[in-house]
Amino acid sequence: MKRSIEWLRRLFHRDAAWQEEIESHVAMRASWHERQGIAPEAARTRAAREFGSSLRAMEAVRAVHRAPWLDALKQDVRHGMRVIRHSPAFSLAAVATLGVGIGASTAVFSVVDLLLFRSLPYPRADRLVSIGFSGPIDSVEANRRHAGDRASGRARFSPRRRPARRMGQVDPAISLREE
Amino acid sequence: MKDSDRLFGSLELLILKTLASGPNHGFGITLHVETVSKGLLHMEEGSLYPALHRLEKAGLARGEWRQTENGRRARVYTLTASGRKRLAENEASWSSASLGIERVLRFV
Repeated sequence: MKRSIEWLRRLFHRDAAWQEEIESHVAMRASWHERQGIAPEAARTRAAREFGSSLRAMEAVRAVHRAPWLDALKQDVRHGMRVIRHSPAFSLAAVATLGVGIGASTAVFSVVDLLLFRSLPYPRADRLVSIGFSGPIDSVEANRRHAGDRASGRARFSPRRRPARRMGQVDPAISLREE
Repeated sequence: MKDSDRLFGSLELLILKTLASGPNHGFGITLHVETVSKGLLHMEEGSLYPALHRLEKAGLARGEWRQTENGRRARVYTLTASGRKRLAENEASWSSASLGIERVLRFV
């Protein structure tokens, strides 16, 4: 912050110095006219008129000191615009691809972020539990050792795991394990 | 394009030549060119300063603020060694170019 202020100050100082240089030129020309016997007021207007637009001169001086990379950047942007105008269909396809890609990733991430990465917006979210009914997924009766398991089912309580730990772990509620 | 490859403008040439006879400020340069050319040449004052700054940036002249004899602050430019060298080169190329143009104009 302090550095950028310093930079700005120097920039304005530089600008003021160029301005002063031009003003001193016009003043010297005016006093030169005065020495030739022209009234001071007339000499000043004449000097200013002879110099022409000091604004334009200042702009030209600034252009001398402008960083070359700025001009290069301007050229690149102009070239890009020309290419886009030259093949609108291709550009449109490229832009659409980018747009859809970025949009889809953002949408998916915002959902995933809320559901998996953040804790739920309740007080003492770490004490939340998820309640589920778990039973074997296998529907073939003969494969089971204890047929009674299925009928009764087992309610399980499992503490809702911390978001980071939850990732990649199988939720006990849908576990295939049979006990 | 390298700076030295470009055919120097007449404005730069006149400035360098004027500075070769001693340090001077912008107004002094215009006055010098006007009087020496006996009023035939008039310097575009608006483009004099961009040209001076270009020369300074290219290291051909060095500018510094000084007090003039009547107590006014002015930026005085001094020719550097490379400016002197550049002046010699451009004087030569200018005379050969003007000789060439002269010959073409004289051709009937």
